[in-house]
Amino acid sequence: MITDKDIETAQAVFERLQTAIRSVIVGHDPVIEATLIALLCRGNLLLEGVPGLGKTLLVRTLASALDLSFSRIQFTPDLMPADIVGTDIITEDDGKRQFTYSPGPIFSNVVLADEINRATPKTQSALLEAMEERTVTVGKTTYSLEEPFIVLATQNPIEMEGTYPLPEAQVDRFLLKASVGFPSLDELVDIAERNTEKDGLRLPDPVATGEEILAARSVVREFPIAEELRRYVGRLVLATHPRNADAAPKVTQFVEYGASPRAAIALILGAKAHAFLAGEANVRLADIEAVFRPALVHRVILNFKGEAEGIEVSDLLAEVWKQTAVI
Amino acid sequence: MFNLSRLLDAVERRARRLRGLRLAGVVLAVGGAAALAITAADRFGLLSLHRPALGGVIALPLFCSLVTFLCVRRSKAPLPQLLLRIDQVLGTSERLSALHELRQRGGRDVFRRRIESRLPDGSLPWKQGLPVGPSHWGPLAAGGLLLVGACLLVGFAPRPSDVVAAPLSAQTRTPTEGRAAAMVPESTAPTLPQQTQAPPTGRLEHAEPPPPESLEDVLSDIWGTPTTGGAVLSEANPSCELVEQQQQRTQALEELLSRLEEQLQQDQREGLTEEERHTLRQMLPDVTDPQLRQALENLVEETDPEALREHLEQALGLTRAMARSQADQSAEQQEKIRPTPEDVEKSEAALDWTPPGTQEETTADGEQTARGTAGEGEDDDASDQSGPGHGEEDIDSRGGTDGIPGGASPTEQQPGFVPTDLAAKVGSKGEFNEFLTKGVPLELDASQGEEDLYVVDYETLRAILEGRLLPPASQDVVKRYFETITRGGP
Repeated sequence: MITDKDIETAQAVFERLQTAIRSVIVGHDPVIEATLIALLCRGNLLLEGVPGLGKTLLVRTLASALDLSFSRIQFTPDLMPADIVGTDIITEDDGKRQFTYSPGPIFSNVVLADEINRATPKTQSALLEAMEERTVTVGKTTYSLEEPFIVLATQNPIEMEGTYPLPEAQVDRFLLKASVGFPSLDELVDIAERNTEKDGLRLPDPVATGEEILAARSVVREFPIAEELRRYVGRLVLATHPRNADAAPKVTQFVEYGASPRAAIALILGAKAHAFLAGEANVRLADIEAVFRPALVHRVILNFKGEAEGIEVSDLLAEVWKQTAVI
Repeated sequence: MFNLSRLLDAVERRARRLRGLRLAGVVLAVGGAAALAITAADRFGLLSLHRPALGGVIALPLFCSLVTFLCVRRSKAPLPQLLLRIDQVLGTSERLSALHELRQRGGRDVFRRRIESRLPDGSLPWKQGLPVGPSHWGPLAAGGLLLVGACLLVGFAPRPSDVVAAPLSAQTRTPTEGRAAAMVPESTAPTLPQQTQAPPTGRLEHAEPPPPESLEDVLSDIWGTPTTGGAVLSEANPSCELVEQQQQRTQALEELLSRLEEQLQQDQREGLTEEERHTLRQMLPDVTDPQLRQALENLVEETDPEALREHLEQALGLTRAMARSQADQSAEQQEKIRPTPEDVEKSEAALDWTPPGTQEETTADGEQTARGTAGEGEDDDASDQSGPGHGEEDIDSRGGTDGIPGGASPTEQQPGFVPTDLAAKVGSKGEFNEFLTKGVPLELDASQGEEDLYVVDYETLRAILEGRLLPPASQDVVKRYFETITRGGP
């Protein structure tokens, strides 16, 4: 049974967390918000942006602000699944040799999969089970991952040579996808100042524990959302499907596959987390709007025509949002 | 303290009312349009409905609309949608919707309290979210207007059939019609049975004689006078008129055949004269009974005296049988249609009117009023039977010369008097347009200045008046008519 105190405590924890992250990261409010939403929703986050924009720093800052274990996996073409999930190794104990499981870097609370699209699909797929079921199966043994668990992956959208685009099944497992944009002039100056004076950038001290994160997750799931808003979310998701009667003309023309049911879950959960972070007591239409793009942008697959004409999924989603009536 | 239950009740009540209003309005509009169409169709003769039925047609949309409103009011309103709409209009961040959701699911009081604390104090102007707009009152107003239109059609506008039944005044008649009516050939006119009948019955209200001064008023009396003992027939029953017309035709045919039979027996003739054959041929188109028609055709063509008598007997028998049948039918019609006291009163009032003398009246410019009867020189082909006034179907609007019963040929009649001037004044300036004379007065060859001569065959008139073809109630009117146009008669 959730009490007022539980809600207030959870909201206070995340306020502290936001403050800690913002003490390091300049700007990028939507990305920070998406990161916290993914953390609150027991989801994973895909960060997309050109190199040098602070994606990795954001994840490291988050990990630092949380009193949780952190692993960073640099994805390269020769990275093997065992390098991620671990493997059985032969150990010798009192003259007896035996196979002992050596956990990989996935066994952490916060996992940074840096430049995830540089690894082969086989290695990328090693994350699937961990991201969705929070378990890792090695040989005949399945190991549970410790909660809270979150995978924060980054990828470079420009440099495509020697990369392997993420398979749809894996992309779908990311709750949100946040695009990290270039900072403004003021933000750029601020970043330069923070990194070039005194001792340079200093990561924050932990401000939240794993238990507090889990408690906050419980609170978020209790947030009420009106029945009509749930239906609205459903209509939004269906509107991304080209064969749906209510689909926008551009969707029909340029989309190959629409968003999956996970998109609806991500939208509702994300909206709840957004309302929680905003200090509200219920999910609003504004909360749904805030998470609509990051929750669906990586789940809508363009067809050949859309790709050829350089259609942006974000533009399609904007049209879907505009054309789908709330009531 | 925010009271969600009260709000939900109020919202639902209002939503039901508005939805009921809208749907009732749609029903009323559709029904009103249908009612208007039906009443218009009735008014313009496409349908024939009784007045109670028309009342029902108008009342039915109202009833259906009321039933719709009551039924829809009882149906459940979609509260989640309504609350979300109110939230959006009021900008309450979907809190009302969330409260409703919490209420539906139960528990989580902590969220309910937090949401309620965020709602504005005092009563919410939630009615802004459910406004009464054009979609609610528009169809209702449209339906109402359509019904009012239907009521007006039923209640006030005259039916075209009424207009047709009304007498044709001198002003509405075309000159050609008037001249043609006045130029009826004497030789053929009396033998046309349909021309021997009195004009069809119309409505007496159309024959109201305001100041009974003019000739037209008297003519109106004639048009409006019933043919059957002063009874006013209902305008809603044209079949009654038809029966009467048929009855009169049959009567004329019966008389003609009887006369032929007598003449054949008395004169010991071997066959029919050409004139008699011609008369019979002219009557053939009006004979609807195939047996009788065949018998008449045989009669006309037959040259053998014995066969002629047989055909004559057969035709006479069939004619009498038909006359009896039509008499029964007419009696039934009369039984169905009884005149109202008002109609009888009007009829009596019309008959009691006495025309003033017109001896002193002359037209302002000295023009004699007989103009237009025969003297204009236009279209003076008196033997043109196909012209207006002679068509056998067109017996209602024009009649040519009335028939003369009993074989009185107009060519054998001599005028009882020959007035030289017919000074009269019709209208304010003495204008005298052509008008329908209904067959009388007859026109004979003029001996001196046909434009100045107007001859009335009083013997024929008397025969008409005393004959059984003209109902007694009409005789006074006819008498007055001739008194009016001839300064009191011979």
